[in-house]
Amino acid sequence: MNFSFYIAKKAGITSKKSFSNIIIRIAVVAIALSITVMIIASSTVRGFKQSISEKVFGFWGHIHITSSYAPNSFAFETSPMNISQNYVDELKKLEKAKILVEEYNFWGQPTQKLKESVSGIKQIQSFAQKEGIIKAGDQIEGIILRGVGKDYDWIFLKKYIKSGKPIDFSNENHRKQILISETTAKRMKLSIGSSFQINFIQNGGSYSKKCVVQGIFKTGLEEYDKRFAIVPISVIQELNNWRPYRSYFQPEILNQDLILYPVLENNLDGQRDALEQSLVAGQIPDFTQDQDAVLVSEKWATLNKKGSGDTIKLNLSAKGESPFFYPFTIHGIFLSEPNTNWDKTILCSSLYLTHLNRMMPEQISGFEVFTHKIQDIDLIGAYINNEVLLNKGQYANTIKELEPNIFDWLNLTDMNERIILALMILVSLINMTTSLLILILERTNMIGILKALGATHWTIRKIFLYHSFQISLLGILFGNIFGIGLCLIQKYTGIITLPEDMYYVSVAPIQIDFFHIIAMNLCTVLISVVVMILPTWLIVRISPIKAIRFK
Amino acid sequence: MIKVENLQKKYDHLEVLKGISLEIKEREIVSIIGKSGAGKSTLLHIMGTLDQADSGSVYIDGNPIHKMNDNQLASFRNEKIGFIFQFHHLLPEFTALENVCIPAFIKKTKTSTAIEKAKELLDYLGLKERMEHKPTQLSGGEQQRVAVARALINNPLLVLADEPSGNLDSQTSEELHHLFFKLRNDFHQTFVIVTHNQELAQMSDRNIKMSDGHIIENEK
Repeated sequence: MNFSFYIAKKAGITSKKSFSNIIIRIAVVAIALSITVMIIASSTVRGFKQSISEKVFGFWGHIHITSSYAPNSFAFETSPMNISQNYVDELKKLEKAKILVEEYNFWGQPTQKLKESVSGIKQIQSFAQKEGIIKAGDQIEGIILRGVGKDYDWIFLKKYIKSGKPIDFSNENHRKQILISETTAKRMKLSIGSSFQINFIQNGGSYSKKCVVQGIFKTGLEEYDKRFAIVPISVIQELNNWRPYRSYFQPEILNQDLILYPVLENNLDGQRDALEQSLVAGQIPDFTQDQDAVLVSEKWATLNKKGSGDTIKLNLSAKGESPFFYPFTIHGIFLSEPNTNWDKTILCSSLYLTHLNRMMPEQISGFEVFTHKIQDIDLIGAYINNEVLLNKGQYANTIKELEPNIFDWLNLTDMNERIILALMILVSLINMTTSLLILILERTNMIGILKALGATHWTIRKIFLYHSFQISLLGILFGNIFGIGLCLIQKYTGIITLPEDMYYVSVAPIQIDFFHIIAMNLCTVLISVVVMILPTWLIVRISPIKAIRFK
Repeated sequence: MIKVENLQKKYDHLEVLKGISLEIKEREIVSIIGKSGAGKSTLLHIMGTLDQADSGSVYIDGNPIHKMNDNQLASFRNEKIGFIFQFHHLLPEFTALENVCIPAFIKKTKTSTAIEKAKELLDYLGLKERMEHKPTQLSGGEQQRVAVARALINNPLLVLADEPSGNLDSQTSEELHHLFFKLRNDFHQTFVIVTHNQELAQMSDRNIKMSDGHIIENEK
């Protein structure tokens, strides 16, 4: 039989002594309150972090694949990349990313370790971005347009659409549709169905596009609400002069160091005379009849051993893209001024080029990748960079890298949580110490008798340690019931609301992590029992003679 | 059985024991008498290892208790010495039986063995019907007899009693005194009793009279 436990049980909480009963009750309530506060604090901090990062991730995805390597800076004007990348299907099937990570062991030596993600990739969708200026009435505001395609997963944004609908790709007028934030709508005095102009500045010129408000959203993330609007990706492609909406008006440098000079059919008349004069072979084609016709310089023809009537293949892809060769027929050869760009110039039909472009893959800013588990973001990001995109001129950046401010800020809340937990543990320790000291002083007589009967100091100290263990267990039990109970009430009813413009969330968010709560409870018990060894030192100092001299 | 040599003890500036030496034989019943403040209880406490002398030595059954550490003293006290106090000092939350068992539990005696022994003792002391009663439900004499049973449960060599009948009426006191002699005869213990009670002193094998920290009489 454990003597200390036996005495603690018999003379402990069941004791009917009114004063120690009150002390014990106060101690239990204090511990219960501390535990309640700890559980609520940790669940709200977790909930807060989760709902904010959910919003950020919902807005951006988890990993961006673009053709620019730019962590720490979000480029809103990006260089284009092809939508058809053979790794996309491969990544969609990815169930587990494995990657060799170099780590330093305890002695500072580098070791290689194979790390594995918990799960794979949920969704990959294309996006494009462009900056513009909204003009409505006399109001002007800068905005970033996010172009989304048919593959866009509306699950996230749908939750935040306050009025109107998502972009309806089945509507033939969908390219006029735009979703703006409530903030923008208020400032620009716009409502569903209102139309306004977006202006863009590109290559020194300015363009404008008319839009009709299809929906109004509010994510609560002021930074995003203030700056972003959602449009179909084709709008961005057209404004950026990207495929499939690319049109050729200006000379363009091709990969083979050739200059493609698109000739407008209706403009040909003006150039015909000059061309005819310099023509040395063949004839000027009628581009409306012979769409694939080209005129090449004599120098180029000699160099490449080509003559009138021959077929040539031209690579129409941009730099860094995979090549796309299309056949053209030489209809004529012109004499160019030596050592000018005309030597390298090929004249062709702009209409035909536009037509060919429709057959080439679309151009987008990049891909948004969603992983199944947030914890896998870094690992999958590194996997995509090291295993998939190597030497492709494309890069994967996690949103944590692209938006470091918001995640640094979220990590700061961890510190708040730690401070609250430490304070609460301190409060319950002080409370338990006081109550334990009172119990010891109240039990001086019993301590003296037990000493006289031959109990060692440690045996008697253990009685009080068991006692404080009982008190803390009781407090922890009630604390858990209250804490988890209140959290569940908030989670399922959302009684406590917050001003969204200050906290980014409208309802105090709760995320109950039972593993964390169990760990917190164990820590509290362990710390309190270890710390309670100190006040029981008082027992050593109680003299049995003084204790038993009087009744 | 007990050998005390030149025992001295001071509380702050007050000298309580001024060089006490004495010997007590096995199975002897010795009364320590004297006026209040003579140092009787202090001597008893030092012999009972509850207090420590400033100088001098105490041997009990040949063991030099003045050289033992706290833990050794605790187990020595538990196994070799039984205490009976003026106020019974039973633990109020425990029944008579449980109170008697406590020293045996401290000694880590098997629970069933301890309970059996406690029952025997209580039966012997005429408390068979009162075993499951709490101390508050017992009379003064009964309480003191439970305390006696508690002192005896570990079969100590020595029983130390500090004014055991100081709180009892004369009838009950007398019964208690006779009990001590009966116990000595039945269980062969040595008794050292601090008392003001003349009758008890008369009955004892020897009286040690103290005054002002000295032994002034040590006679049969």
